Amino acid sequence: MRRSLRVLQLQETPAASAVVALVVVFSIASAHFRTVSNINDLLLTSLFVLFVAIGMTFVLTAGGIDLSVGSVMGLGGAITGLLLEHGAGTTLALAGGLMSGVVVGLLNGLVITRLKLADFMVTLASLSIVQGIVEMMTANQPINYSGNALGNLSGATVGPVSVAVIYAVVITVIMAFILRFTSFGRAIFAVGMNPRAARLSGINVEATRVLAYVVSGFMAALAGVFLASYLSTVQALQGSGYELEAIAAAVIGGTSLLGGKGSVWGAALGALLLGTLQNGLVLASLSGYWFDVVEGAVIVAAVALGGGLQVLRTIAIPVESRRARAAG
Amino acid sequence: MKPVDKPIVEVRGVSKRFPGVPALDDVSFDIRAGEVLALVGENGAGKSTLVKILSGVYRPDSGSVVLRGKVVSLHDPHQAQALGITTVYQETTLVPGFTPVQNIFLGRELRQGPFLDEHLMKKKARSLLREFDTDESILDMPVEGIGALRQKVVEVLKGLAFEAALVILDEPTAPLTDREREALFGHIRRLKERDVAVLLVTHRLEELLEIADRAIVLRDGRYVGSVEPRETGIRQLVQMMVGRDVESVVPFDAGGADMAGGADELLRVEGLTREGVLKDIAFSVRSGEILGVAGLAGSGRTELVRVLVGADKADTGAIMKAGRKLRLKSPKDAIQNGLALAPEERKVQGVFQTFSVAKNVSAAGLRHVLKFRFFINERAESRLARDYVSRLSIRTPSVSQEMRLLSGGNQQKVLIARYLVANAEVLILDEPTQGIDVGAKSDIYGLIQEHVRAGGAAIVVSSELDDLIRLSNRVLVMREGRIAGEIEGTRGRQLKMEEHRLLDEDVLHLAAGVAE
Repeated sequence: MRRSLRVLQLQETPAASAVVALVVVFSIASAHFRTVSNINDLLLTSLFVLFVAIGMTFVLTAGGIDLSVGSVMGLGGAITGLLLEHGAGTTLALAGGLMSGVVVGLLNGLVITRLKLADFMVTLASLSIVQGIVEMMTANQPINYSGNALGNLSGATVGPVSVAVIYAVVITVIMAFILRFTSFGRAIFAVGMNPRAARLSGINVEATRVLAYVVSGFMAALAGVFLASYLSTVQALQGSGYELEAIAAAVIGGTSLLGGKGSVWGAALGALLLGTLQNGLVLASLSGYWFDVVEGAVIVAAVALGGGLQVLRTIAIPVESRRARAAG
Repeated sequence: MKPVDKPIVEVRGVSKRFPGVPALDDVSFDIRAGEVLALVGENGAGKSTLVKILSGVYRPDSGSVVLRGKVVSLHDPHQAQALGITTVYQETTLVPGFTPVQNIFLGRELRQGPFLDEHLMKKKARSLLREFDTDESILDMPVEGIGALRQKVVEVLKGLAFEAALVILDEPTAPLTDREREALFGHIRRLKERDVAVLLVTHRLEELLEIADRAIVLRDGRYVGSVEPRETGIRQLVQMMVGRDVESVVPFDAGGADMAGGADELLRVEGLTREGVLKDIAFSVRSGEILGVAGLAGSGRTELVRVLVGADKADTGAIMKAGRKLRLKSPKDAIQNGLALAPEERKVQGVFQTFSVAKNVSAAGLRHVLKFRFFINERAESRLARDYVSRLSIRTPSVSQEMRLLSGGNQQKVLIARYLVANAEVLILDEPTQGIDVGAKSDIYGLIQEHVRAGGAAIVVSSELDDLIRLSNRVLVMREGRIAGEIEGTRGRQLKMEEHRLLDEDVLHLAAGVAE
């Protein structure tokens, strides 16, 4: 009894149940869906949202929001691609691309905390600024990844699984660990939940928020490199729209837009849910427009379900407490 | 001065209980037309409950309110206002970006057909303003730019735009300068001339001599009596306010009087000034000592303790710990130097609602449960929290319980645990017993005593004067950003009730700025 209540308390439960339900339904409906290559494909196409959503989870949990990630994806992909074109080694090129995301995140965070401006407005502005910069970089010729060292990330496999998927799992585990089990992660929650109490507890509120944006910038740039590799090219607009997908994935996973509540695993499940949905609807040969409609419905359902579970928890926990008190 | 003798409002045997505590117990009194009646009492005496009943926010459990000879049932503020009872609350209710005209008529705009009748509204507002001798040029300016007094005036006008029989002013002078206060009193006298009754709630007793015809005193939710302050003076009023015969909830701290005798000075403050809020504050605290800080709301008590932990910056002055001058840029620096503040408004500034008890306990001392300075050892964190939960007898089913599910008193204990974990040698507490029950209060006073017996020091800000005097070795009394005086506390000393009462009065006099 008590164990089942514990499961209810997990904020990832709604997203996880939804993913399982969808996989079951699509597997029954389509023989092609349950093939290994399709599942691998599904995972591969979910990676980009996944990475951005993980970074977004850090920012949302700290009480902010990062709208610049779509442009940062383009920037990360473009800079890495350009460095490779000019003969830089893979490591240097990758570091350069990721560093560009870190710099944008740092600037976002510093402008927000130093000038005390609204997160939404600042990152909306940098979405536009960074997009302009990437457009300048790619104006004359789209940057081509097909011949370069990072061009075949999605093609390389270990057994049936793409190497990129393995990377993604490792990165998700690391980021989940950082948010959940480190002093930095704890500070993110504290700052998002109650910044005044956090400050009086000796937490550096500004630095924590800046670092959350740095994580988001880094993850967006990483997603950008993977996306460029997958598409074999970089265009300025190829990351556009990802900011909303990422926010959707995070929220589906139980992260609160009000701060103080968030989970990397939840974001991963949210990304997976959106990916599964897209994949399944394509197999059901519904038009892409349907995906947008269904995605919206899923977001509402996830938030409503989260609220419903919250109510259940509030009822369940006091019962549990009373029982514990009676036992003790 | 001859108030018309017919009461305009009669309060008849009004009682109101909140879960566990009676806030008002069988209170009866009259207010006459053209009378300025002051309502006084200590914090928690029931003043604001009474105001809320008269303004229709709360409904009494029993008893009735009689308005112009008829029993009325007041069930919401709009209806109370329509009946002629207007309340000007302590907190502003004006919309900052709106003009006085827009504010005065907010929600009940005058219309001509479907359109707002701007012309008529402005005309009405102008004639009201003229009546109050206030500059008409403010009519078209957003109220955020017109200053505290005129805002107060606009608040009053908002009530008067519709005929009021009774105007309730809840701490109207708190945000005002001396000159503005005088002007407001002028306005109140004009209300008197129009035969409007005024109920004035105030902490500044010296104001009563100037403006009040009569004062009624509440204590612990009961009506104590009615006096004419100009006849009796402030002293009797104060006695009526504080005179109570309950045993103190502060545990007797045997030997506590001499604890700080020859001990080392832990903290020294010199010339601490923050523009507009603190002026030239100097004091010191020894190890083993409990220093109380008293004063009215707005006297600078909270501002002082915030500066002490670097939450706000001082313009000039020095804070020295064991002879070393501290540079505090943030509470983080203060915690590293052994100074921490458990703030007032626990919910807003202290508690992490959806964190577990364990995470709340470790929040300021996370370094004690880190591996490699970065990774949280959750097992060590739980152990630490369990240790403090049992030492401070915090009532919670487990340390993984969410903080929001604990009672106020237990939340406060968790906050004290948080700053003990942070190794705060100088533990500073702002209103630590606000809104918690008697048992928890007693426990918390005990924890403070235990902390200083172990060699620490404590600075306690509290409005619960009697408790503060019994708890402290010394009590600083603040007024208008300065230390108005120092009273010896009675920690570890057995005093007669009467002697305690005199000390309470001394503090009240210093805080209110009344000459002996």
